[in-house]
Amino acid sequence: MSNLKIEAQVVDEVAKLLLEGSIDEDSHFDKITDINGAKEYHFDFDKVKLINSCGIREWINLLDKLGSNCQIKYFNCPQVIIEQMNMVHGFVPSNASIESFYAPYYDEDSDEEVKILLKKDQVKDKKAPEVKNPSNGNDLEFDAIEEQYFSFLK
Amino acid sequence: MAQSIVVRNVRFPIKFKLISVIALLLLASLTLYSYYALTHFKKDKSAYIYGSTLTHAESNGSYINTVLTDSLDGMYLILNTFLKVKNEELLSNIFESNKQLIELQIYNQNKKLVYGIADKNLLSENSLKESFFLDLIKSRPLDLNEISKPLISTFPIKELPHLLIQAYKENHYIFARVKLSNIIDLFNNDKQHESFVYNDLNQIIAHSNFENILRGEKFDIETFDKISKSSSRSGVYRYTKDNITRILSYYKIPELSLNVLSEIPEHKAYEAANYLIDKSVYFGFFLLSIAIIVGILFSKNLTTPIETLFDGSKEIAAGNFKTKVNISSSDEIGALTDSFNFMSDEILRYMDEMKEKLRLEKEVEVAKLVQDAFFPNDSVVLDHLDIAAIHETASECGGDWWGYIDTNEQSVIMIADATGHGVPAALLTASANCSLAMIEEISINDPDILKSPSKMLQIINKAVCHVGSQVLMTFFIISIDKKNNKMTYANASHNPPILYVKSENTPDKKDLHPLMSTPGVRVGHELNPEYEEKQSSYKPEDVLVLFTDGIIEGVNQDDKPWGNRRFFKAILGSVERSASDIRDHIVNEAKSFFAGVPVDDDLTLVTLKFKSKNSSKIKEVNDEIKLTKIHNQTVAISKLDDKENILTLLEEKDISHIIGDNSPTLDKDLKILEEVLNNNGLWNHTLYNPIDLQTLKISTNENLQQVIDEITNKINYEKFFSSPINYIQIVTNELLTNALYNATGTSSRVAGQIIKLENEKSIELNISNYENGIIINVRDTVGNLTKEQIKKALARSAKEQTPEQKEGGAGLGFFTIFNYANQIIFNLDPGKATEVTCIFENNKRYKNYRKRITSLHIHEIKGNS
Repeated sequence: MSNLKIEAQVVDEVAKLLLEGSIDEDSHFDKITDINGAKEYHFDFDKVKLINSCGIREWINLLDKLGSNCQIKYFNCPQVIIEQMNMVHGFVPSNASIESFYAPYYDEDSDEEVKILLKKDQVKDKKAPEVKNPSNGNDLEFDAIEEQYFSFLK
Repeated sequence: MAQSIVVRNVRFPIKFKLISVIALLLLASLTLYSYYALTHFKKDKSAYIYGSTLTHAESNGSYINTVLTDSLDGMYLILNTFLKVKNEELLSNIFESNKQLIELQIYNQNKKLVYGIADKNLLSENSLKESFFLDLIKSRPLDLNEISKPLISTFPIKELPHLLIQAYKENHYIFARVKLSNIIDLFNNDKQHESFVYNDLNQIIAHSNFENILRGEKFDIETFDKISKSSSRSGVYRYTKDNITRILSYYKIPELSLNVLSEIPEHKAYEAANYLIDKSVYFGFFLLSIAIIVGILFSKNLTTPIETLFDGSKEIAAGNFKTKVNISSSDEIGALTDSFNFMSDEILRYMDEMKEKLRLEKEVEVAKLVQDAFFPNDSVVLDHLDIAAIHETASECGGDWWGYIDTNEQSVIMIADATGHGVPAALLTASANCSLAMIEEISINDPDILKSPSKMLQIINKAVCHVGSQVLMTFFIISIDKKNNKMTYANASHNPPILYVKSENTPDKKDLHPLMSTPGVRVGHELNPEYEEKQSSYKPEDVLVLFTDGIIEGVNQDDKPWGNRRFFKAILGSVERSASDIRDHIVNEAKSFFAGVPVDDDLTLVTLKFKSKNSSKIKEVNDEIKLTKIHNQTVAISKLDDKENILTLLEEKDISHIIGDNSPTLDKDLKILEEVLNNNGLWNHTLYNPIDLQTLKISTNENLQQVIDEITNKINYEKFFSSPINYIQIVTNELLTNALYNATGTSSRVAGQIIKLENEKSIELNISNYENGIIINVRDTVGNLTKEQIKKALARSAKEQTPEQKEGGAGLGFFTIFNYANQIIFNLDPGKATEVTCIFENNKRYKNYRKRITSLHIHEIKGNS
């Protein structure tokens, strides 16, 4: 009944985990907790479309099980994940970092909203970097409240 | 309060400085000159002394050489004559012709006297004996060559000082005694120098002081050696003997093996020079003294006027501006005195002008105070609209003006801009204000006057024309018909106000409409102008912005005007806020553009926000919160953020109805709330005229997500930013999951466990678009949820922002919904049903969606419904 698919691959003590679907109260994380000997966990959220309040709790419980001795890295976090991170404490513990994430931008000329994948180093002092629309080269305007959207970057 | 002048002590007055400078300059100049001149003088004098001493020795030497050579020639002539003719008479004549010879004796080779002659007058009894000469030959043997040098020695007899010459020639010895008196006389002629002659035996044979010869003194041996070894025939030495420095000159006569010397003590030689030097120094000091005396007199002459000026300046500093200084000199100080006196006159004149200026400024201040009374308050709340205004003048008084009249039927807003600014323009605003009062008075008997802006303009125009000023006014009057939501306006060449017509979408330029009409002539231009009247309509939430050109023509440092484009953008950036917020936003945007560059024209901005009748009941508690009462229910219109609304208004103040201040449908929200509370009825999707409503009965969580995906995919998202479906799905998921938990009363559940409701129970999901967005409604028929549970869950989540570690839900569901939805309405019918309705308003910009302050209603149905 779980709506979440997990693909796990362990290379050189790094567990690469591709998540797909919804993270909710029925999500099973056995595939992750069963991995032995991984010192780093790389979570790719690119295909996660939903996480509900129970899913958040399950995720936080998963992080507790993995413990604080390992390194956790989040990649390709969609907007809904970023928003949950900003809303709920415990999603990004001290041993975790967000390496890349999607941010909303707006193309005024084409009246189009564009999701841009940003690396954490691109955001300085919680200011959105200036980017261009990949499809037409137009300057894009950051389409969220920077202080609010980047609050997960401590 | 006058300040006393603080003047430093004068420790080193100018006069002493001048005297010191003059004295130092003179002293330095004289010293330098004296050193230079006297050094050269002394050098020159030394050269002269050394030269004259040398000349003295040379002339003496030449003379002695001549005398002795003549004597020697005479001796040889007598010898030759003796050998050839032996004529006594001839020999005697030759002897007598030579006046220097005293005695002459000739001896042959065998040293036998062969001839002798003597001056009988001088040597009648003192003729020398043969033995003397023979002893002399032995003691000083001659070189017996033909060319042998004669030997000369002294013969020291006081009575007859003379020299003894012995020579050998033609195999004969010849001796002669030669007078010394001529040489001594020569030496004695010069009292300055001590002259003497010494021979090859260092015997002094002639001396200016004959006593020295008698004593048989010898010349200083060291100097003797030095002169003997010198290759030059003559020269000058400086040497010290018996602690006396002397200048010694010599002249060698090698043919006779004699040296002639002259010496003079150095102090004696320089006596005249030193006397001159001493005289020069005394003269120098005399000159210096004269210069200092002249300097004192001059500096006194120079500094006395300066002191007088200084005293005068102290008087001025002490506030005695009538002080005059009287100095008659024709130099720069005299000119400075004239300037000083002119300055004091100018200060007096300037003070008079300042007094006059102060008086005028006070009058202008009074005028400004009077003019301020022409303006209404900056914030005016009328029953159908809020007015906010700002008026800033470029100088003390301004030429902008605005005013309003409000009656039960009509509101009239006027705005005007007199040409130019300052007092003349300000005076004209008085006419405008009086005209407003006059129109208000007329309207008591003739209410229709307020419906006709053109007539009002004509009345004002007459008033202004009768002022007779050259100053004109642009004028705009708008009359608002409250009952019919109509506006009538007329324009006398004023900037057309901008009407923002509220739309459901994000404010856009196309929503801005300038109130255009054929512009009439400016007020005051002609006596009977015609003004066109135009009409427009308005609805609640529309915004009207009236302004004068000062705001759009204000420039920044680059001299770029703010302009219409930025003005419109500022309007659009705030139209969803209150009238005062719109005013503040526009002015702040303009001023941040001006960046401190002063605006050289008056600036007036009047913002009007139309509102519904309900709005009139809203009271502003503070800048963030407005409260109103609808059917005894407190309704808060809040600018606080979502978390603060939960913690402050919901939990702390127990307010069940919170509406986000930036709701795009504020008026409609209030209207619906009023209807619901009036009827104590259900509050669900049916009130919103759903479009393409989808209804599902849910009784299990099996495949719940697939069901949600299917149903949400059928929603029309055209009026939204790109991906609201994620949020719709999350909210739907949370609503249904919560409803299932509440319906089953399940407190614990294993992950993956299937929940199934009993036969009669079911959850109803209604989801659809509606005019202003998307509406999701979930209803259970259990009615377990209470207001306290909702409050508690929201407050805990807002405070802790963590999931609860308990059986069942995570305690974050409502908080998640609250964060994502724009409106959330809990409709509680205890024991019967619970309905939760979430609204996502149309929004093309994610940013605006996130800015929306969530509206929250917890509505409990009292009694049967």
